[in-house]
Amino acid sequence: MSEQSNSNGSGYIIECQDVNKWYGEFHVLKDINVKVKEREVVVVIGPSGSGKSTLIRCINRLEEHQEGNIIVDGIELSNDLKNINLIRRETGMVFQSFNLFPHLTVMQNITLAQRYVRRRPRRDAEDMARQLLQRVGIPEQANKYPGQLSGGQQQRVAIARALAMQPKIMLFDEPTSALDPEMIKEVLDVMKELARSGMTMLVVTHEMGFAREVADRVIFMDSGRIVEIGTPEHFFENPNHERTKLFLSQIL
Amino acid sequence: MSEKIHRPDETFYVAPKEPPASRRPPALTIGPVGWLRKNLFSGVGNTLMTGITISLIVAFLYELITWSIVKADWNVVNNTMRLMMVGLYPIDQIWRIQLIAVLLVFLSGLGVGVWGGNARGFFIISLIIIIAALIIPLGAERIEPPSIRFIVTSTDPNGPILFVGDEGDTVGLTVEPIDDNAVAKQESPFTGFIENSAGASSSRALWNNAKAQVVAGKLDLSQYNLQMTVQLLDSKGKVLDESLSTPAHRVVNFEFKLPANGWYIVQVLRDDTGDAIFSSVDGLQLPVAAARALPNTGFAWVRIDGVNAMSAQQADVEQRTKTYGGLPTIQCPSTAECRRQLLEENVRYEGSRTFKAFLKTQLDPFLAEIIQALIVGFVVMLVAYSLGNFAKQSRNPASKKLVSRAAIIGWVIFFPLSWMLLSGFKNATTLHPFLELPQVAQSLWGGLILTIVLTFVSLTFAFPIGILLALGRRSKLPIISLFCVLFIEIVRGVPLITILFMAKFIVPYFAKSLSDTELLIRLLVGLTLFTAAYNAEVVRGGLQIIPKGQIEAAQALGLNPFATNVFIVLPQALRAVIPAIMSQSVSLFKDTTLVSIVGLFEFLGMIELIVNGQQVYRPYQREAYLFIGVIYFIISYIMSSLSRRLEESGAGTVRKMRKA
Repeated sequence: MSEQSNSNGSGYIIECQDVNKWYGEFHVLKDINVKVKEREVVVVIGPSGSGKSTLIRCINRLEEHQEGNIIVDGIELSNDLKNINLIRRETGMVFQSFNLFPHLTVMQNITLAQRYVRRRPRRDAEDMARQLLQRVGIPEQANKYPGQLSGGQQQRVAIARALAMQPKIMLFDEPTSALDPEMIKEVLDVMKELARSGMTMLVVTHEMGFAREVADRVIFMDSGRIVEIGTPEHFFENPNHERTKLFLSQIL
Repeated sequence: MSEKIHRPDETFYVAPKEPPASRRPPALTIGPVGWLRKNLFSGVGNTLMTGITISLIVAFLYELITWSIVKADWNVVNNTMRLMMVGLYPIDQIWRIQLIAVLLVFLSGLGVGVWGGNARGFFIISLIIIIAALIIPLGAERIEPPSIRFIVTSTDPNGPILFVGDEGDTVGLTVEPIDDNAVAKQESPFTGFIENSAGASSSRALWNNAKAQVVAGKLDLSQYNLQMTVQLLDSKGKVLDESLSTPAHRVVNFEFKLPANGWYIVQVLRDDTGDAIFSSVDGLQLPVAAARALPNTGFAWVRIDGVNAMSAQQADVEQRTKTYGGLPTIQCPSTAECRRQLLEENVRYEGSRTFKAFLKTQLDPFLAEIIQALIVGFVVMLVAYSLGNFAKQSRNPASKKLVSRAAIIGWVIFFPLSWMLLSGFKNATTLHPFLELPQVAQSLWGGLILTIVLTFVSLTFAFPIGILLALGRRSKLPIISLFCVLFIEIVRGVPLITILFMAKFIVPYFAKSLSDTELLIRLLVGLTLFTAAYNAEVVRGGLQIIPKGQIEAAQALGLNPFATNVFIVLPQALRAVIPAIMSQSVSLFKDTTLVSIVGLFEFLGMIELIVNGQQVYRPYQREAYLFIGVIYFIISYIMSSLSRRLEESGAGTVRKMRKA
């Protein structure tokens, strides 16, 4: 953790303090307290409906929390549209269903936000896109449309699209859940490479192998609460909580 | 292995290393035969349906086409082409509309050339049209002019009749007595043109009247007692040839070779005296016709062969005066009849005609109207197409970009420029001489050009307004969304004609300042708002199919709501609703006919004006309405093919893949 670029000096790039959220009457997030350091890889696991996706969607304000504070890169998330856009610029997000823009080519998918949000000249944006496609291993697909690619390739394009904005944080919302088993590996390899390069990552996933290999910390959530936080070794070998043990016994 | 029962614990099936070779599918299931079997004759029911449908289509088309060729008289279309197309637009300013048309063709050709597409089929069709347009009138020149008949009765000599002829033409004159009651009872006893100028003394009216009397038993045609001299005169009134028809020698027939280009006259002198006629040959008085009892009774046709009916178009009249001199003046019993010309609009086809006669008398005048425009159009289109295609094929990508950009700019400029050309400027004389376009009042615009203006102006404005309304209706701000909902629902809840009436009568009543605005503008605003309301609902449907994930992905990338809509949501939503928007547009195109109710004569209104307002065209409503039906269909078809092309182009979730 040599770089301390976050402006508040606390050493944490994401801080959630007592975050609560309701869908109507339904209490989805209950007193969430999480702090993520820069260059840290945090994996969030838990049964469906436990609020994992909602948590990371709150971090770039795709969902609005009703109580508590979320501070990302020193900026507090509020209804101020300017702050939201500042934070979104620094946070890349990868979705379960890729959400590539089907009417744009791979190249246009990757360059659109660079050019419009970052105001990068077209040539620079395209150079960046080509570098990133090289990095995710599909340099030859630049001029195809998303519909012409396999699921794994699409998800890798989605990662490249998020990286093109040069974010400080990458959020992954079950990036491999919609993929065939043969394609999961190619996406996980890209994510591992990204983790090794020092990107701050918050990953919601069911890939326990990935969590064990790459994560610095694992968060286990159930019914909107954080049940347990710990290193992968601690988490997988020696969990404290009964709920965690039950969950692990079912999936491993 | 095959005779063994498969037990996993004993043996496993292992695929051979070489996969079986691919074979062709059974011959009867592929190709055209397979298609026919699968789609048209797959079972008894399907075969029956195919048979019935095909016979219905064939029967309908057969009737329609034979009627169009054999019976219909299309001169109502040929003679009123200008009115139908441009209405009362001043003749000396029509070049402005022609210029717009040329620009349109040029831009279309350029677009097809540079943006590609189905260029080959398009090119072949163009060639076929060019060749057909060139050949048909040339071939038609060699076809004999039709016979034209006019009637002579015991009370109405019906003449003289004026026409032009060229040196060497052979004119035939024949008297055909109508002395058989059975003939009059047939539905169409003869084939050919009959004189049909307006009024109760036209041959057609007299003949119909006689037929009715024969059928009613009040008239006996066999009581034939007509004696007359049929004369061919030159323009000075000198008799060139004549022949006498008597009750004893009824059928007479002579031919005469015209000595020079000029006007000629056919005249019938009925002999009302009953005296014998003598002819003086070498001093001897020879009886030609015996004395007979009066009164004159009966009907006879006088048939003129080898003469063309003349066009009544102003330009043709001027041309005729130049070539053949002015109308001759001749003495005749009643002055009103004396200048009756053998005009196209004064003859009508009776019975059925041959295909040759159709070419000569129907298609040829039609092509003569449009042939120049057709040739100019094709030449311009080919030039533009080649230019665009050349740029596209060129090795230098910059030239393609240049031409492509020029085409886009051309289209953008085209619409305001066309409006400017059509309407002109109020104080044209004080402007730069280059811009000296006198104003043409919008009340003079009419015909097809007005229909097109109404359609495209309101479409152009309705499209963005519709998008804004759709976005507004989904807005999170309740005031904006309420306003949009109210507007959309009110406009959609009212018939278009009501909106047009409001534009005409109520708007000036409420807002005095708007009463000076031209009616056309007020109607355009009405049409635009009407279409915008419908478009808004269509676009809203498109917005709803965009998955939430698309918007989230855009937000996650930091795009603001405006950029999200412009770059992500609208391109996909609009592409999804192209078919619906286009059907809305076609429907607007047809709805513009309603403006004729509030006093603008667009295409349909102009036709109604022509066939109801001019007596000579009143019998030809079928032809006129069929013609405009075809034109409306062609334009609607072009619009929907354009929409299909749009759907196939580009990419997206709802992209329709082009057939290979």
